[in-house]
Amino acid sequence: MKKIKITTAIELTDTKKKAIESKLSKKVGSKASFSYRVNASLIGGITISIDSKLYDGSVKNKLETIQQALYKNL
Amino acid sequence: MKIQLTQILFQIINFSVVVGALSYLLYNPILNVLDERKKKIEAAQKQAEKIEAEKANLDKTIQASKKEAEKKASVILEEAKEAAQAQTKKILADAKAKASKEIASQKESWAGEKAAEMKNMKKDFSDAVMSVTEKVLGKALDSKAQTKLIDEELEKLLKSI
Repeated sequence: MKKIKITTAIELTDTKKKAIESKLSKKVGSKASFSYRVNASLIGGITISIDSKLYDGSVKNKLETIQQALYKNL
Repeated sequence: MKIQLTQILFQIINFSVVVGALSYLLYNPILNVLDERKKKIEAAQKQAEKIEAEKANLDKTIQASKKEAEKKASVILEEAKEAAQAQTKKILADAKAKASKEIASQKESWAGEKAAEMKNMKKDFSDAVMSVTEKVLGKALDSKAQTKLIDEELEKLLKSI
């Protein structure tokens, strides 16, 4: 059973959670356990951790990516 | 008057004796003295001439030595002048080269510092922009926008899983 951790900047509603779980279960193709966390520092968006692999779709990550690109060009 | 021969003879003899005595006692010695004196004078004259000639020789030698010394002094002075000029030139050239090197080094240092400063400023600026952006976004994203964002990102993530 895969362990899926979901982190968002705001608290998700139960409806939203169910929708996410449904989509993710279809994607991973097996049973999964879901856990949720709220982290305001993400600013917005969502991060999904499936076992040890992290998929970061947060606004914070995007900003950091932009910042790294700026640093490279200095 | 009758000439008396004996008287004349006597006078002649007398005269001869006197002349003889005078010659022997006075005339010859005086002549000797005069002779000696003449010889002394001549010797002294010769000596004086000799000294004069030696003096002239010495003067000549002194003049020649003086000229030689002046010539040597002139050469030494000229050489010293040239050496001093060459040294001055070298010192100036060395100083110029050193100054140029220092200036170049300083310019390089300043350029490096300026570049580092610019980099720091750009970094600080980008950090500030990021910070402001985070704060603005944090305030601008209401729950509706947040939900929309979550949905959009979820779709992107699902494609990459």
